[in-house]
Amino acid sequence: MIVFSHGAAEHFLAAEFIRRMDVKRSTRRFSLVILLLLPILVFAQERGGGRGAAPAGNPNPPTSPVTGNAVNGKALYYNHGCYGCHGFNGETGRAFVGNWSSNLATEENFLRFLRARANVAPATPSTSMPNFPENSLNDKQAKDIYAYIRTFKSNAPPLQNISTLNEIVKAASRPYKP
Amino acid sequence: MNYAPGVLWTAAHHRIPLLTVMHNNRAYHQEIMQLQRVANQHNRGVDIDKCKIGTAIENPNIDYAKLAQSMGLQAEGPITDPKDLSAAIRRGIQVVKRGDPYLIDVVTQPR
Repeated sequence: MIVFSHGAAEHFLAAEFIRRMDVKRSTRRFSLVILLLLPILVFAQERGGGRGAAPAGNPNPPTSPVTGNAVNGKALYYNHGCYGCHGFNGETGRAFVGNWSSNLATEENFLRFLRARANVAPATPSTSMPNFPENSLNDKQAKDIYAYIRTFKSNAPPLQNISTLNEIVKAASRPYKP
Repeated sequence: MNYAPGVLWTAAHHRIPLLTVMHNNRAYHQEIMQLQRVANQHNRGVDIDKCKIGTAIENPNIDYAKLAQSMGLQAEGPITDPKDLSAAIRRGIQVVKRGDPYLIDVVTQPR
């Protein structure tokens, strides 16, 4: 089995695939299954922003007031590349869902965090999150992003509930008969 | 897929039971993200339309199912709704079980 994978969620699924396939490598069902990821996707988990172990956060989402516009925030979240490290739904990479940092506890915390990042235009490539001063992301925009982040909740089904995936894994574990 | 689609013909020619699930993000998206990243690091803000110059593969979108069909494969897509994916994979597996290659063009989030 050959897998080219770089997206975080895809990578996870592919890794699970390989893990299960390896157990039964000698008895795989299909001669070849290729999951081809094209064009080249970003090496999200290898070189994404600050992927050290995330500090333990709050499993429950914040309940503080939100004043921004989540619709605008969604576009800003995409345009500024936040999804590259935090996922489109805050569930992958340096995830928010289930691990809410104190930096996200309130709007004020979020703004202070964005402005206080020290990693300004590093001379060498960095995987740390850059800082976001007023001139690249004003307060209103930052609050919109915060409003969008606050809409995040887990949508991922448990692996055992993905019926097609389970069928494939089950089929792959049966002896191969050409 | 853009650079060496002839591999599909090889699979069809030799009847290789190969299921290809294409994760199609319609871009050289690593480049887009690099541009976003550099802009962020230099505190310039980001103009997403400029990031897409020479990096996005859209307008028009490439129909990879037809590309595969032109090489003699059975193929389907683009799949843009996750609800359609399961049935497509089942159809693909049926074809592969019969000993033929199959391609599914799946449009994914750009990462």
